[in-house]
Amino acid sequence: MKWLIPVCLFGAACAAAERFDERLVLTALPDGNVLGHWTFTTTLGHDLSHAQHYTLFPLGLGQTLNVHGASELHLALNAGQWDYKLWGSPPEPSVASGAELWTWIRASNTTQADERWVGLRNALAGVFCASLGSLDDQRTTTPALSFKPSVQLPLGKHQLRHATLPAEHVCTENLTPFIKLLPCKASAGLAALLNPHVLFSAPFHGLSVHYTHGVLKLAVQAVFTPPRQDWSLNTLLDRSIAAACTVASSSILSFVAAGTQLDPQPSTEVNGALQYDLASATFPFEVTVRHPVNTISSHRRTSPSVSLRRTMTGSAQYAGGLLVQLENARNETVRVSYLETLPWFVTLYLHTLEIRVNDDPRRRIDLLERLSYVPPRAPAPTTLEPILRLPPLSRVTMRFQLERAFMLYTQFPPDAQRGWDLPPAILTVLPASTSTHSERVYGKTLLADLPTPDFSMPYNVALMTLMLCGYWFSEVFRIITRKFVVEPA
Amino acid sequence: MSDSATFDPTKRAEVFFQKDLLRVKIIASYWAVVLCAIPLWWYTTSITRLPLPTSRVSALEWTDSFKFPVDLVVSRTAGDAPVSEAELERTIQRRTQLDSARWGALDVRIHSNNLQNRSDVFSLAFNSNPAGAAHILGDDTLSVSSATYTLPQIVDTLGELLSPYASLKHEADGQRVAKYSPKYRLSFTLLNEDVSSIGYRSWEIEQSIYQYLEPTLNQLRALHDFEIESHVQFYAPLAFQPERVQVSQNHGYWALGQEETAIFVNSAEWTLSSSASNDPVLHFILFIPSSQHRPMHVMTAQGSAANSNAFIIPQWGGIVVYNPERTTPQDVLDTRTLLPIFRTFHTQLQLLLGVPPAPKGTYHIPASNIPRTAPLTRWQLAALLRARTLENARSASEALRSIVALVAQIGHLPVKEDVRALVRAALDDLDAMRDAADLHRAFSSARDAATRASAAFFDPGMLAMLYFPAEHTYAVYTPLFAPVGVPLIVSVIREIKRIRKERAEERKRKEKGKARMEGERREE
Repeated sequence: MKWLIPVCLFGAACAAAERFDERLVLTALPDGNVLGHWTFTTTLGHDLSHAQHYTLFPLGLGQTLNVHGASELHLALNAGQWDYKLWGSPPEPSVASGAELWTWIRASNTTQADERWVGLRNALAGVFCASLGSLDDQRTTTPALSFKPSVQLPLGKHQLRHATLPAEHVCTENLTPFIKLLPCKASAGLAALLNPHVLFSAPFHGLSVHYTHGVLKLAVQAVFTPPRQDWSLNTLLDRSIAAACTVASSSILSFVAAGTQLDPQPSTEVNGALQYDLASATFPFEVTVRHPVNTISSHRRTSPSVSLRRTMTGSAQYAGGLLVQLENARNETVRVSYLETLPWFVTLYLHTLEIRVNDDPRRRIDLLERLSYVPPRAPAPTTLEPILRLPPLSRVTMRFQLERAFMLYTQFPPDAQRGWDLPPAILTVLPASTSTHSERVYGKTLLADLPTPDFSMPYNVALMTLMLCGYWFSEVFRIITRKFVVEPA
Repeated sequence: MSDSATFDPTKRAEVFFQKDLLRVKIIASYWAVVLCAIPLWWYTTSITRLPLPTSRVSALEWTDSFKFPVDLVVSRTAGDAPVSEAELERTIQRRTQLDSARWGALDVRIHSNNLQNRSDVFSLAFNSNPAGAAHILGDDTLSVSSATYTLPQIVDTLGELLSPYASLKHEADGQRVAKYSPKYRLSFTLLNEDVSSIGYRSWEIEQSIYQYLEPTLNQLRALHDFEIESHVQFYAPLAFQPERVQVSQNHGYWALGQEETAIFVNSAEWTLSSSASNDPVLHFILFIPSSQHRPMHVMTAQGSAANSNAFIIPQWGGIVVYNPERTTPQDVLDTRTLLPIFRTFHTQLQLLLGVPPAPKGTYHIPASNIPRTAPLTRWQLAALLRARTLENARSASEALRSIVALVAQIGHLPVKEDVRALVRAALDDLDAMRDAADLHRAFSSARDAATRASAAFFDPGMLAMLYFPAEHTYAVYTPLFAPVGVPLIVSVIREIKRIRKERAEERKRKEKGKARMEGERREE
């Protein structure tokens, strides 16, 4: 047992290396809205190990990640539509409406990875009170090109699992366990500003959880509509910060809006953003933003260089097509990877894939650099990942034909007449060099109208068949056993 | 009956192609098909109900009166022992009859010479110490002072060592001790009510567990597997306001009485549990009240401040309240300060896991002076093993009897092969427990029996047919069987009526014929 002493001391030293940072960035957007981006980062200092002794890192989440072997995890719960043109690139790139979960699982083979994936999503469903348990085989894919690990994964074989649930709602029951993962919870620090009433009535709001190699980042991003041109934290969020979070190593509130007057005066200015350090502020903390007369200052965030638009074509219920429009706003060729996930009952015909540029009627298959296609195998979905080379300042249209299958009446989801939510297409702008990051652009969710049968038909069929059988039987029986009697005339 | 040549339509005759016998044959053949189809229908719609070994299950009453063999050696090193083996045995037998709650589960066998090659033997020794306290030497020897200990006192002490639970306090003990589980999670929490006023950011938890709890946990690993985790909470408000007690002008404290301890754990705001696995969790909480609520004392039932400043929530865990003077943000709760706290945790852990305390007036002298040796004696471990074995055996037999009763009572409850295999395996484990050579093997057999019986009882396959209402069956069968069955039954009734009528007419005709013949004979 003597070897335990250095391990324990090492563990104690590691526990001392945990740190917690929190940050809130408020940006005034050109259309008058305010973008709020909270980040809460807990750094472990080392990777998750079997010794489960934590101070700042949440124990429940640490155990879940450890037991299911998740080396990297990204979960996003969003509601609303992110406007890339007006609001620019989102600070958290996963803005797909609904729930999106993707993770690199440490597993030696596919069976073990699938088992761990089932356990992980059910455990996360319990932690966040979201129905992540329904991210089952019909929605899980393993995209080959679009999701790379952000940092070097630890030793061992890893497999990627990605799933989306577009119809998932976000509400207070997801925010409350999210806040409980923070050291200071809602009593002190920047998390006290998260008011569920205001947050969930914002045009866009989303919670996200990222875990990579010992660093847990919890983020909230939302686009608020301020009630008046001059606003303060109290009027915008209906909350104020009562006390500082003393366990945080840094607690910073920063404003990005050139030309506004802030009251009280910010302590520093970094890269055009005015910052307050909450460790040295007076409480209750309150900031008022005033615009000078007749000017509205805002900050135009950079939009992603490629924009995506996807529509369903065709009016028949069994067949149709998808039309994807990619616009390259840059003056140079951009390589993008487009990820399309379709459920198994929507058959994609790969030979009907057509790519055209602007109004040129020629087919430009040369723009397709590489294609990764996983055909559907019920219940696993189709994964289509072409890598396209977009010419500068052009609009590339991609079309392909689909056919929607007529499923068995037991295979339909509940409320089958609503249709099936097609997960949003994900466009990854591949970096020109390895130094720049790849950015992701999400499309809208589409609703695929499924040809549904009349669900009362099995009972109709059973009753009608039995009735006919009974009638036929009684007719034949009557004829062959009836007694004929001759009556006198 | 038919006459094709002369067909007189005026006579109420039968039609020529109609034969009564043919009609009877047709109806009989329909009925033959129906009767042959009934076994086929019964077979295809029946539920698999494999027979369970009910005779073995009903013979399981022996678990209620099971006796553990205990071997006791009286060692005669100090010359003549004041008590002979025969006297000891007689006294124990009398005690068994009088106090069956304590002695009923034991079968004590006294030996005079040392039993070689046996490791689970206890021994009774005598010393000449006039002071009078009893000692437990080493691990397994009870040494009593021959001067002051009389035979009844010796038997009392032996009873408390061998079977410490069977007393009037057993009911309270039974509710405090957590139910047996092969794996426990021990969760240690440093709960600061408000770390900005008074609190600690971190504590030397791993070192403290290693130093203070590891020895006992190592000994208890024979019974349970332990998984240890810890975390720190910084803002853990109380859900209620504790009572303020003013002792003097500038000195007062906050009191936690009996009612407040019941509602102390604020599960809504404190994140204590985790959802990683299904194993039961024992929570150990170190609570540091904020500067508004300090100092905080736990009150005993009599109304005075408890020395340990701690309390237990039965089957859930234990809480210790610690009132530091003042803290700075860089402070770390070090191992030395945690010593009294972990002593309390140690006691709470023992109480929650059912480890029996040493009887009053007995002192434990360990076998060696090496620090961190086993703090529990073999008497205590053996008593705990016996109690848990009995608990497992009783729960297994109860589960098995419930399964058999349930299957007998609910007619459409399916019993598949895996349930039957689990029931059989549980019964085999219980038999293995009865015939086990030593206590450890008996314990593991009882544990396996309890796990298997519980798995069989909660098998999800058994629930499938429970919610199949009979109305659905009737609704499906009636549209087919009613139009088919009614003509069959009605035709049979008609045939029977016709045959009876014909027989009656036949008899009347015969009688008329006989009467006429007699009349003719008389005329002649």
